[in-house]
Amino acid sequence: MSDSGSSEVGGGPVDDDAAAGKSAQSTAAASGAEVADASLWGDAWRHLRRSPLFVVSATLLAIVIVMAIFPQLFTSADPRDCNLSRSLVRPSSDAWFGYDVLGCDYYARTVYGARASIAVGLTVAISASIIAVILGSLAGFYRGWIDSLLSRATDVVFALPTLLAGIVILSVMENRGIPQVAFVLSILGWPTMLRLMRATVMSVAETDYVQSARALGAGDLRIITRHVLPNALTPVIVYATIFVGIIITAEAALTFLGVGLQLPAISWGLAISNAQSRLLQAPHLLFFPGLFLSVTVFSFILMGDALRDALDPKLR
Amino acid sequence: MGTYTARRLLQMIPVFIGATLIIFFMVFAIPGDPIQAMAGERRLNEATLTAIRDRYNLNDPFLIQYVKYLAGVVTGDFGRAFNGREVADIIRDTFPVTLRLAAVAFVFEAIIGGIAGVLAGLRRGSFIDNLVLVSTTAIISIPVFVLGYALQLVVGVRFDLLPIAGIRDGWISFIMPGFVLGAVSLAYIARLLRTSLVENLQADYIRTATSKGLSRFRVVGRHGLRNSLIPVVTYLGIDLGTLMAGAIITEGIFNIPGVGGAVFDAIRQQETPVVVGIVTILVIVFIVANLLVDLLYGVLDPRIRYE
Repeated sequence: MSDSGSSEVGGGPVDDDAAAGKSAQSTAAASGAEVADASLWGDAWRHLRRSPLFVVSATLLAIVIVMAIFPQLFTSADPRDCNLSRSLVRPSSDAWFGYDVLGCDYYARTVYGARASIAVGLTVAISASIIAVILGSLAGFYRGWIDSLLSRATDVVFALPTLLAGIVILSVMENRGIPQVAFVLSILGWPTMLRLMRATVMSVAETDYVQSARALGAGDLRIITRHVLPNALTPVIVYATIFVGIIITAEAALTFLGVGLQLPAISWGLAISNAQSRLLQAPHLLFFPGLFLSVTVFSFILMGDALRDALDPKLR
Repeated sequence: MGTYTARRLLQMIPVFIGATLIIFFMVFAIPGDPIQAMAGERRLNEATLTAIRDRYNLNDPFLIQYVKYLAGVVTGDFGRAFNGREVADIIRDTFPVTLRLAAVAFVFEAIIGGIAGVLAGLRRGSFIDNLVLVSTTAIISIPVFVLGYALQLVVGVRFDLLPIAGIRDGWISFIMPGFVLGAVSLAYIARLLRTSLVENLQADYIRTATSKGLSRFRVVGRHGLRNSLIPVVTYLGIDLGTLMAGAIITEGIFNIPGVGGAVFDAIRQQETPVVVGIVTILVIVFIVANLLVDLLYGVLDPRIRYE
């Protein structure tokens, strides 16, 4: 048991280089990388499949993402086909979610609203992760001036609470669509992830298998891409998953405050913002987008937790 | 400790300059003519335009503009609303209300978050532990404004238990908004406390304390809990940012005349100078509070020494 345990934690890459010392470097490294993959991700996958958290969150996420890409699969109604005679009609067996103030089918509006949230959430999380992985590994690996520079830059952005700074910046923009909101949230969102990446890379760069790779004459690029990154990515992947949920909440909050997405866009934040003045007559206008929004964020956070449990064997 | 404080204060200066520069750059360097925008469709004559531009330093080069803005910020001039009221005055009037709201939120965080975290941490893997984990995730997932409106509808309108909005009824009217404001932090505190308690209860000094024959209550209370509170205190610094942003939404929903409510109104009325002014102040508060938390950290935990 202890044997298999140690090879999970990071024994793969260590063996990789020990073997490389005895046999031809390239072949050992290539086959070793495969073994490392199989041990960490293969093991994580076996763990994930049995985790109820993962199964629940993956199912929910799959539904929401399909909803964002192909809303037509979920509803045949056109969200922009509105008829004032149906204004604020409550949910019924004909229209499960009722109609909004302009008489648009609220189920269709809610389904089509998924796209804005998912688009902003994924764009920001992916761009922030890319920035964090590249700059974080440079700062953590080389230290020195590049690290000081990047650390001071993260301090500066870190001093701006995301939502507050987002309000200021977006409130002066005139046209705010998905790209603008995603851009502002990306600018404000990368520091946490960069710090995480930098710290992980620093600890990995100290390990024996990186030292031995260097002793064997591997170049910086090879060490970073083949040894450091594969072993330093998991915390960032976990955080990025949770981060999607955080960003979706932030986008909805900004939109709700009136500085995020603008009509005629269809989004959950806008729907809730428009619902607020008619809360008493039409509580369903708050309930459905609120529910979809919360469940989406919930699934991303749950997924992050499940990934962390699976990828960090120490937590088991 | 003294040198550390001095060094941290010095480090704060570039952070402060950088943060204000980002805000300033994004707000004031954006294309478009704010002065012409104030006049709407009507064309302003050249003389008026130049006079107003001069008053707002808009004819200066970018860096000079920034230095003048920074000089204003340092001397307490955060700009004016369109009706001529100074942003500093608005802050002075509204701050006590927000402080009261934050105090109520904090009580909820400490009591509910604390109890939930301790119960979960003491019985790791139990039903209570899982219940706390799932319910805190759910609370974190529900956006503040959805929770606020939902509680308003259910607790305020349907059951008529608490005032729906405003602050006419004194402390009672702060209960619901305080809970909404503290909800997310409450969940984070419960989780942090749980993780840190689980970790600390496995420490050697806990075993020593138990083997000395101390009661379970004393072991957990004096040894486990005290050490577990350190990450929670650190979190409170970051939490302040969440609280301030949350206050904007919560005070808007519950119609509370605090700092957040003022920002909420200013956004609705598109009074950009007020939004920028107040948020700049909040950012400064955030930077200073984080410095204080860092210093407090060393006081709480003697193992952490600053050279």
